[in-house]
Amino acid sequence: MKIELIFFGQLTDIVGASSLMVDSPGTIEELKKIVIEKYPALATMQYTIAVNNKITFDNVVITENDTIAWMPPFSGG
Amino acid sequence: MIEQSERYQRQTMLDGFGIEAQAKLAQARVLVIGAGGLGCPILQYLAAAGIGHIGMADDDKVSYSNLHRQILYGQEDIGQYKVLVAASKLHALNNEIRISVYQQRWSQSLAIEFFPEYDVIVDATDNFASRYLINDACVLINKPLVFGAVSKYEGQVAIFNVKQNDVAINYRDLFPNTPKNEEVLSCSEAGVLGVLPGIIGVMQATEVIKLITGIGKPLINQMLHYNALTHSMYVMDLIKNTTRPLNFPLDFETFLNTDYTSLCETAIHEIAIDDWIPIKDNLILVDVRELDELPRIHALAHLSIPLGTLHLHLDSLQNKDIVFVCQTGIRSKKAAALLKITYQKVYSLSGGVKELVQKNIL
Repeated sequence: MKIELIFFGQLTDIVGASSLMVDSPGTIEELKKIVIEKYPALATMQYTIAVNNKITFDNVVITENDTIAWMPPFSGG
Repeated sequence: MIEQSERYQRQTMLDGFGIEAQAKLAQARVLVIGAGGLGCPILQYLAAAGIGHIGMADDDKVSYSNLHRQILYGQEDIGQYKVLVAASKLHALNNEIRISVYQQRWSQSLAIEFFPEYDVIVDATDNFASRYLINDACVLINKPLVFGAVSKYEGQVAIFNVKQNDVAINYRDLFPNTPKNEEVLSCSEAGVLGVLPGIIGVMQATEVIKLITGIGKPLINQMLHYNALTHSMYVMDLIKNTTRPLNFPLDFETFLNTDYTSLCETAIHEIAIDDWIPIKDNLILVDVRELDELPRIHALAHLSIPLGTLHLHLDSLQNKDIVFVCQTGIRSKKAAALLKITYQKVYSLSGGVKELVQKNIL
C-alpha cells in the first residue's frame, strides 16, 4: 500500500528529496517512527503534519494513495 | 472623491470590485511590521491600491545586502532608516493616503498601544521572537493577522485569527512552541532568492485586499506553501490544535512579561569536563552515540540512547538533570537543544568521549 510523503523547507535537506513513495506502516505515529529512524535529524526539527492537505494532530490510519506532508516553520522575511 | 479618482480606475472597473471595494480600501487601516524583503512589496502595493492608512514598523537601516530583494531602497539609501526611506517613497507614490511610521523594533507595549488603531496586522518580520509576539498580540487584541515567511526558495502565506465556521486558527495551532533560532535557518544564514519575498509579499498584500474588500476566498484557516523552483503551490487546511497544550499568554500581564527573545534562544549549557566532574553524581549521563561507536563508556553509570531515538525517551527523561555526551560534543549539543524545548538543566559535555579518553576518565 503506497503512500506519498512530501517534505518542505529544511526537512527536504535532511531527507534529501522533496517527496518519497513508501509503504504505509498503518498509522501516523508508526510512520513518524520509521521515518525518524531513517532520518534521525528529523527528531530535532519542528514540523506539522498534513494528511491529504489537512493538518492532523491525531494518530489517524493512513490509507492507500494518501499524501502526508511535513511542514516546518519558516522565519525569514 | 474616490469616484472621480483616475488613479484606481483599472481596479474599480473590475467586475466584483467597483467603487464600493475601493471605498473599503480607503477606509481601511493596515499595520505592516517589518520593512524588509516581505515588507517592501507589501507596502508598495498597499499604498498603490489606496489603503487609507498604512502603518509601518522597523528599527533597521538599509544595508547593501538588503538591495537584491528590498526594492523600495537604493544605493543612496544605505545607512538610512528603512521606515523613513519607505515613507518618503510611498508618499511620492500616493499622497492621498495617511502613513504612520514606527521607527522601532516591535514590542508588546507597542502592540497593546497601537494594534487597536488598525483593522489588519501584517507580519513581515524575519525572526521567530517577533512572529510569536505578533501572533499572541493578535489573539489577545483580536486582530486579523496576514502572515508571510520565506526560506531559501520557498514561502508560506496564511491568514490567522479570523473566524470561519466559528473557528479562528492562529500560528500556535501549527507550531505551539517557539522554535529556537538555530533550529530554523534565517535568510542571513541560509540565503534567499531575491524575488522570493517579492512573490510572497505580493501574495500577502493580495490577501489583505481580499480580506478588506470581501472579494474571492482569502486564505482563512489555511496555509499556502509556494516553491519558486518548481512553481508548485500546496495549500493545507488548518485546524484548532486541541491535542497539545498551547502556551500563549492568556492575559495582558503575562503577555507583557513574556521574554520572546530569550524564548527563541537556546541556552544550551555546554559544560567542560572539569566543571562537570564535581557535579557529575547529580546528573544523569546519557550517551547519544550509536550503539556500535567505540570506545564504549564502562567506568561511568550512564544511559545509552542514540540521538535518532531520543524523541522516544522524552517521557522517561522528564524532570531529570541530564548531561549528554557523544563522540566530539556536536550530537550531544543537538540532544540538549531538543530537550531544552521542554526540560530544565540540560547540558552537553564539551569535547565528548574523545576528550574523556584523553583525560583518562573512561
